[in-house]
Amino acid sequence: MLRFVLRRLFWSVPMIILVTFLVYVALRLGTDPVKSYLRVNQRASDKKIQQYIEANGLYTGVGGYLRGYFQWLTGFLTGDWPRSIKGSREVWPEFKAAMFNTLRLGLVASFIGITIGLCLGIFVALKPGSLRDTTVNTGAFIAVSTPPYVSALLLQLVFAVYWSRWFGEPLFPTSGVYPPGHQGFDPFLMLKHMALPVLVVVIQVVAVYARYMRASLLETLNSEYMRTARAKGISERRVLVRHALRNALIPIVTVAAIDIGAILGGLIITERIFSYPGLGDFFLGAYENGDFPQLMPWMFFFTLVVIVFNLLADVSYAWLDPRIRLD
Amino acid sequence: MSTTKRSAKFAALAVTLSLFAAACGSDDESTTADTTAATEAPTVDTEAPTDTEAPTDTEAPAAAAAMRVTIDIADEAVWEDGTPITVADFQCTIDAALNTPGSISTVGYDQIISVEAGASDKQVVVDYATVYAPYKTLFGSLIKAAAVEDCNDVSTDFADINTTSARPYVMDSWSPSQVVFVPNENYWGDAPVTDRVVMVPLADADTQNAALLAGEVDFIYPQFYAGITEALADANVTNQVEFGGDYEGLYMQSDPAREGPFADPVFRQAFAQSVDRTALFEQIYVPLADGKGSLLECGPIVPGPYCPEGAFADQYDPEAAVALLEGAGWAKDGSGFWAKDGVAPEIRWVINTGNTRRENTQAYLIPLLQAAGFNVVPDNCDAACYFQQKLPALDYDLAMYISTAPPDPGYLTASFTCGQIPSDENQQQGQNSTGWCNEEASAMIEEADVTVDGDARATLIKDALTLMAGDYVMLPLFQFPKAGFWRTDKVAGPVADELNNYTAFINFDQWEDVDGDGQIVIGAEQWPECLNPVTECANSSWMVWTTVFPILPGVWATTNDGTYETTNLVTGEPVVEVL
Amino acid sequence: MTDLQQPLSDDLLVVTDATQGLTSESVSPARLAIRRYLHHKGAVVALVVLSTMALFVILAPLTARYGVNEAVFKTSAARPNQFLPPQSVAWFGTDDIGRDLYSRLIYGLRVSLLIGLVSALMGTIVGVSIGAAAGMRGGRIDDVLMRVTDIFLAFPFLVTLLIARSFLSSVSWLEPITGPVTSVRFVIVLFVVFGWMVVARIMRGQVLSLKEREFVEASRALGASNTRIVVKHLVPNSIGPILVALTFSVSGAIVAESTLGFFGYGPQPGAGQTSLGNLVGGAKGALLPGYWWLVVFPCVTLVLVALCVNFIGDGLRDATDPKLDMGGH
Repeated sequence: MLRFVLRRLFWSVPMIILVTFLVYVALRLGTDPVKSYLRVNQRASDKKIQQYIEANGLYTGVGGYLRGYFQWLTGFLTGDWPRSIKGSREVWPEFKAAMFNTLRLGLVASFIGITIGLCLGIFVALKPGSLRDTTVNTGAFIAVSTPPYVSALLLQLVFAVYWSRWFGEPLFPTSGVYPPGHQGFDPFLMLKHMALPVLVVVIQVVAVYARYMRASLLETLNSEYMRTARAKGISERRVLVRHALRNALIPIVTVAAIDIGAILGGLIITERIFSYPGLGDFFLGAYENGDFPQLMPWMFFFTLVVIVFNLLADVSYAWLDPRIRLD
Repeated sequence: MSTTKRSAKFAALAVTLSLFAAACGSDDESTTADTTAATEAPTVDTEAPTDTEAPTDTEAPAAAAAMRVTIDIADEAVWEDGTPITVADFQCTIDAALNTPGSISTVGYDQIISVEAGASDKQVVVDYATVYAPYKTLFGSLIKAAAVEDCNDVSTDFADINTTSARPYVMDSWSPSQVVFVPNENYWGDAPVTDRVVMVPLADADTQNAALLAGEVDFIYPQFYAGITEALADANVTNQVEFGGDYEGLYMQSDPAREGPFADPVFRQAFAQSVDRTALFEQIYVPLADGKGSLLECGPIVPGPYCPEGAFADQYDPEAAVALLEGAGWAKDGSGFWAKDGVAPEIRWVINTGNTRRENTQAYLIPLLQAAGFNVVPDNCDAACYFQQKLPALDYDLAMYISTAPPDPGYLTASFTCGQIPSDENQQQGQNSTGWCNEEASAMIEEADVTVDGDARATLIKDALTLMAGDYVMLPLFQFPKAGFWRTDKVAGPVADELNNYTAFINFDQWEDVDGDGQIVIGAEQWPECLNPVTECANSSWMVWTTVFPILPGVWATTNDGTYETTNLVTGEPVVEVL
Repeated sequence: MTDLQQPLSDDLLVVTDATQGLTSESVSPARLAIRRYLHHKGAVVALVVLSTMALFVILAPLTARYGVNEAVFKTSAARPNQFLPPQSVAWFGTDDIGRDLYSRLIYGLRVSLLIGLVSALMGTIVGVSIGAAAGMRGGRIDDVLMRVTDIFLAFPFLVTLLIARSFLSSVSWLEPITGPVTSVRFVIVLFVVFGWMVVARIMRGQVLSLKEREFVEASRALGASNTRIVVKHLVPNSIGPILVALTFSVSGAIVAESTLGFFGYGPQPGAGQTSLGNLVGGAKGALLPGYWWLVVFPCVTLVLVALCVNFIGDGLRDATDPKLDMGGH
């Protein structure tokens, strides 16, 4: 097991380098950093442009791309990040703040959403075709079919607009990380402001995971080895807990670990709607300007997130299903 | 690369980029605007090798001066730290605009040959190389010389906060989630009524509305759309709708060098005569503004002293269009489109995707135009692509956008004169994205820039715009509403007074906080990414509304009715002498 | 534990996979599948509803009352016709410039059904193939394929899509395949290219857990090829999760299309097109002022389509599941 983990860890390094290099190429071809720089700094001098090209390693040709990528990577790892093209700002402080905002939102929402979703899935899988099954199933479809911006607005209406009309004060605020004018750290206010965006994400995640869990558990319960287990006289509770759940979780775990990365990235719309200054807004701003020095760290971060969660998926997969050969 | 020294002529013609970048600006709803010429000025780059044909050298002898403006700074006028505002700050503002790499606009400042102290360093004598009629657009936002290391390159200053101020408030903090203003202790005018003003970003229109209805923000200044007054119907919310300097229009790409279908004046005229603006107005704009406002008939300018009354009045005349085309050898082809020599030109109509109003306009007009024999096809792309690539590159046949115009018509020079059509001569930096070149009209518009007499200037502008109407380059559609919505239970005072102003809610220092939470909260539809008032940061109106106008002093300020007046920075109207 | 009684009794009737191939039957498998499908009442109703929708959509010129962009009647200051509530001239009310919502729903559904069904089906086929190949071959091929999947999964959908748009628009030889960036075809291509990964992961997981089972081993012992094993045994045995993923990706594609529209990247209304996603997006601005019809009708239609696709998926699963036997019911 340890060897397996170490081996995967070892392989994830070239993996990260390869993916970020591909991203680097795609970004350079897709957004043309030098052209973007000129668009944002229309009257920049030749000298400034040259400085920008050198600071970011925007060399041409195949060798230039490789050299440029490794120059970027070295700078990135040593903390020597090029400045943003608009306003020549330091990238790290803003990136850091956005990253923590997004991680907080995304991880809380994933955790709550997946947990509730799995429980709900088990709950309905035990009685397929029943009223509760139909209700949850339909509810899940309504939830998944409602675009986040519609559900977000509904929540804002109920918990902020109407609530303040009924009770004088909104229950949850519509936007931001803190109330306007607030300075400093306050966990309670922070959680209060996270409530609605988290809820929007949770609704979607619950719907998806309830359905996955239900399908997977039913599949497992119907499989022949479950019957074997029962035939051996093992009690239903033991069948469920020891065998069925474990087996049903295997495909879910793989999806879940990867989904967390996707959920983090999928916050773009949620963040935009709730004016929540996270990585989603950071990306949209950077993309609009074609801000290469801002886009690359963003891409690197998400590559890292997904590869790490992927690793977690594989490891937990191997741990849950001993039949999988580890080498 | 493309930006090195440019000739004086070009620089003179260069209209405020921000006006157009703004108007056409960075976002899909075009709220971006000119940030007053004072804050933006395209650079003559000092780092570039000396250009022989660059007469706009700031070192030029003073003898060449054609106009002199003498400004008397008020004795009590000081910066936030108590140091006096002097001629040095004026010099710094000019240097920053002219020489900072990436400066957004040098227009006007490049006409200045010298700035010198007069009787004292509280008196500023500015000499211009030519008579510069829009002189009031300059020195709108002064840069504090002591706050920057090098006035010739302020591009790395004000990166995170701009603590300079000579207005009622100073910026206490700025972040991607809010900006906080507190009173400026050393402000010499009336102290602000409220001790704290906070602005927060609310990018999504519905969230913005919800935040106001829930009482989280006290005031918003949203882009107008159909249904917004119904959406904000609440006992505690009131609003005021004004028709200011924003206008929307249809533009036809008429640059002969681009070889688009509208390069042919006959085809262009026939097309324009086939557009039923009245019907379009009723379909799109009547629902938008609840029947308020009327079809714009002034051309690329709003009603006022410069509007050529009637010149752009109803041009719809489908029969004349048919006669015109047939007379010029056009005939309808098999698919019902007008063709000449067997070729039916395709008309690419570009708008920014996601803008419901413009998409609706396309949806409404395209079938009608196709029925009239014009093969119009939508060729839309997102806001960044539309405003930053397609329009500046003249890469469209038909376009539709809002422009935000400052009260002074000086912006017409950049947008509509021959020399401003992007070409190799101006390093493709020209701002005339319509490609319209009428030598006679260009001469008039340029003449207007050096005509100080108000009436003569207005006549020149009106005559030029009348020529434009005859060339069918643009079809004006609507003077776009500007509206403020605010909670009467949270904020009181003269909230409604400056909503039509180019500088928007600039008077918030006089607003009263009536809910007792000690602060006024203003919701901002767009949020600045950076605070530098000189560089490209300043290309959106929300940027200057939230981080420049509230703190930086100016000699002249725009008023709610679209004129310029002096501020308390000076003792009186500066003396202008034509030498 | 009475909850378990139901599946347990079902189970007892199941013919095991290993013996299925050996069981001789008088009824053809296709007829048996149809019979199984018809047994699922929800699936039958869903099929009828969806077919009706499809019929309305195909016959759009006849069923729609107005053109997609045609106003119910002309607007003027004296006679506004925007935001009319449902009434006899406009059954589902009108929108912000007075167009008939009912007619627009029909035209919008046409585009959305196309996008949803085509991209989900193609994406699933791609995903199943890749997942199965990875699971069956194992080793290096598995590693490489799954790493490729990771790369595709590595970036949030919208980001990938934005970059891909910039990228594709600068690669001109791809245009014949993808069409212009604002076309329906382009959206479908994007959804297929970026929509197969979840299915691939599920399929691989299924293959890994099934391939060592007795019936697969038995089949292999009889000399069946990998392809045959996948098609004959693994896909039918994984059809449940796959169909779940498929039905989700149909509604997912429709919703994703509306998300694209939210940022202005969907198919273009200017070209005389609209889509369900576009209309659902219009619901956003209509909520606050209380134009309920603009919210209710598009959203209900979207949910209805999603539910129908889901039930049909359920029915198909029953129909194709070799473990289910009709005899007991």
